[in-house]
Amino acid sequence: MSADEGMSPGAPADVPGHAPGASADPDLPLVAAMAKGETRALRALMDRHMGRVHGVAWRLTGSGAEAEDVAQEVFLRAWKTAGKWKGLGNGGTARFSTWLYRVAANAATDRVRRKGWGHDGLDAAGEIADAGPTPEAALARSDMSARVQAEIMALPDRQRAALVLSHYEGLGNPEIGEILGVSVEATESLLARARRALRAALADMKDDASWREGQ
Amino acid sequence: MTREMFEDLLDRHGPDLARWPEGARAAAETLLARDAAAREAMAGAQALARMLDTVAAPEPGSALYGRILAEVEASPAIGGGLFGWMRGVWAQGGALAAAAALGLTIGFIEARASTPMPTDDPFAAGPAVVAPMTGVESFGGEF
Repeated sequence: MSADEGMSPGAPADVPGHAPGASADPDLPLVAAMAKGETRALRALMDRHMGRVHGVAWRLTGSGAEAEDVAQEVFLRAWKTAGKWKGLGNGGTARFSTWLYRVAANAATDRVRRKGWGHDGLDAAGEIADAGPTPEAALARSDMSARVQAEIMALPDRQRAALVLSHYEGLGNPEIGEILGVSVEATESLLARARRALRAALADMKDDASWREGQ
Repeated sequence: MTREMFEDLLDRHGPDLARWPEGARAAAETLLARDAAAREAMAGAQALARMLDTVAAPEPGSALYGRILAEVEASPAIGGGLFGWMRGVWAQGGALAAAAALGLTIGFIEARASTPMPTDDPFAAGPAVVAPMTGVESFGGEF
């Protein structure tokens, strides 16, 4: 599967969640400027979306190096695509950011299929959120983080992508469906299966999480 | 709303009721108020969300931005549709013209070395003719 398979510049007319005439795409001025060859617009687009694109790529590949390569691929594709873009406010229905996520998700998934999971997520232990008040608590959270990351990576590709886009990026189910190229119903089914699988896999850690709630 | 319906929606939308379909929220809250098993299901979903929250993605390296911009700079023809294509053609044309001008200049200098020229020669500053023709300098301000 190519990184942008099924995604011509501009989304299908029947994509849910983005009715024609909806609020304008805030990225459209940058896309137009990139189409004129203004690299400053590319820089601004990266400033706006790099963190999320890189974050999605890291969560889907488990590798910092792969995530950076995916991000590079995404923004170079954005540069090439700008002159042909037909999206929300420009004759199409999709936001440019939705397309960025789609390219990122597909590119990351392709890399995992070819090379396997990067396994360096644990090396980023310093990035663990809110490590805790004591070294023991920090270690416990580090262990939990590693285990959770491993279980996320064990999910089937589409379930993992749906979960990452929903939980970590906070996207709505219609937009996730647009990114993954599936219906809203199918998106919700992916999310439900992912959550059930993770709950079962992490059942023995539930008490740890409950402990943290009380801190 | 039955407990089964509640648990199905919980799996589809997660534990934050604000992200549920608007029409289901009130019924979910009513069920939570009267059904201990529904509250247990919600607690399990919240525990999973907290566990997921322990994994934070690293920030991208600051060099990544420069690497991407350098790639664009190295291949200006890939960007910006027609304008990008025109820039690429212009850059390549400029480089060819610069090479041609450099060749002419070298030939001219060699010719001067073998042929005495008057001091008021209008081509005395020959190499300066080459500078404005380089494709790199034509777009240097934009990168």
